[in-house]
Amino acid sequence: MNARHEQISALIDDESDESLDALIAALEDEEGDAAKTWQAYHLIGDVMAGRPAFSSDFMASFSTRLAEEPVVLAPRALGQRHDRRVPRWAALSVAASVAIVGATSWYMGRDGQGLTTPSTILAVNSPVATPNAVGNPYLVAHQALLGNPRFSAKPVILTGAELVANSTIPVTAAGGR
Amino acid sequence: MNCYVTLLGCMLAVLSCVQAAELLTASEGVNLLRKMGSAARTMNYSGIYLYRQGESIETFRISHLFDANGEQEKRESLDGLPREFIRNNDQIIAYSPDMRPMALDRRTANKFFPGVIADQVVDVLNNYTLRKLDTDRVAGQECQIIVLEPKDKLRNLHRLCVEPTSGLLLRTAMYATGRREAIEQFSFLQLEIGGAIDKNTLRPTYANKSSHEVPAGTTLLETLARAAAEAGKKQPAIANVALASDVPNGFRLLKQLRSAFPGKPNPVNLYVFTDGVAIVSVFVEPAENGFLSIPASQGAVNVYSRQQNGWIVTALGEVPAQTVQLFTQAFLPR
Repeated sequence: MNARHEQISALIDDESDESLDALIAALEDEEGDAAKTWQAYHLIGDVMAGRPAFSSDFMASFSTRLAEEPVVLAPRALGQRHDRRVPRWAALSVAASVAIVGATSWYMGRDGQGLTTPSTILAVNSPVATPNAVGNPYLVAHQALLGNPRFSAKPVILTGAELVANSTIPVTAAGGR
Repeated sequence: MNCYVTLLGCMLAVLSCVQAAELLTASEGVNLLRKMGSAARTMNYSGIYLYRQGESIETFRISHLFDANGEQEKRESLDGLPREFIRNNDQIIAYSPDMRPMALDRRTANKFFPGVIADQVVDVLNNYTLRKLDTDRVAGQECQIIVLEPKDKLRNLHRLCVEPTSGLLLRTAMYATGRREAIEQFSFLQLEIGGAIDKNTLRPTYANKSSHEVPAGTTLLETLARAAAEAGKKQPAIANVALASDVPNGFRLLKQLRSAFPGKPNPVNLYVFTDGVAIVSVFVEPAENGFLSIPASQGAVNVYSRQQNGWIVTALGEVPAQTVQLFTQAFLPR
């Protein structure tokens, strides 16, 4: 087991979740810049999709409703390993879904395919959601980060901290270590 | 007789085409690409351009000013929902009605038309052969056609038209092998190069005074990176992923992220590669995140996803299908 393997293990181990916990905790701090920026990014997604229906306190009320119905929203796979973290994760992933819906319907064009009601958004986050409804989240992320205005208009849905510059992955041949 | 004339005409056409396709030397290539990048940044220009991808078309109005304070620019959508992108040097802020302003990621901003190829000149030359073709006319301006011909089958062909005096890019189109139609295209429809730009026209229309000022460091990535740094110094090293083999030739890592993803229980590792022109994103995640059935191509983007050893690797980008496939093979987590 070499260093790389250990690092990969860290990805799926509980330890590596600590940094994400820190992030999420920062996001939950309503007074902090992080929370405001977070909210702004999700709002732009809705607006860019031509659906300026959500008020600025949408996320607040959404979170409240979320807290009332944690079972409905918690992704299935979280059940056993991360009980303690379910509410946080649920909140985060639903928040991200809101952005994705905005972004996806924006990408799909202005033909009214966008999903608009909160109940539909919840459906998007459920494990049984069909890819057609969600679109291609990979594509959305790809274009949100690197596209021209049409796509940059979409919210940057990535929620992780950017890695340190130049801490590159080992781009070497298999035998080249 | 007519037949001979036609034949002669054909031969002449072929001949002239061959002669016209002048290969650029490395130094000519570097100079041209630098000039294009510099023109997009340091010239005054204003006009309307079209963006087409597949069947979808959008137009934008752009006004770009360069003075002692650097680059200032306003870019607004003319179709659909109003959107504005206001540039102050490296910072670009997006505005739309009833929306809080949003700062865009800096690297994203640098790829905006007509500054499409501003950096990574060496990468471009390593991976593409530059040929000078005939002249053409775009938005009323004479321009020089430049073809970026891929040196291998891992990338697409790009056809540019560059205004020779200023070096400003007037049109760029991307072609997939075996398809006559461009799969993606930017083109000025109307353009004025040089001349004065009224600074008042560069102000955002949809900003209200209270929210006009967006402090530096407010892109989501910057905010999150800061939050992470402040919240926990004991943050563990982010997991790396071993590569089974080289990534496809000519691509280098631009950046990497670890990110939560909508509807996915585990975070996803994202790696972004570039060959100087095209960009490929690779997503690596545990298999328990679930395998998403997605189309193999959408617009100019090809997608490939594979599951192996408990991991899912998905690659996509504006490159041939073979290239994204190779990217997924290059990643072999654990």
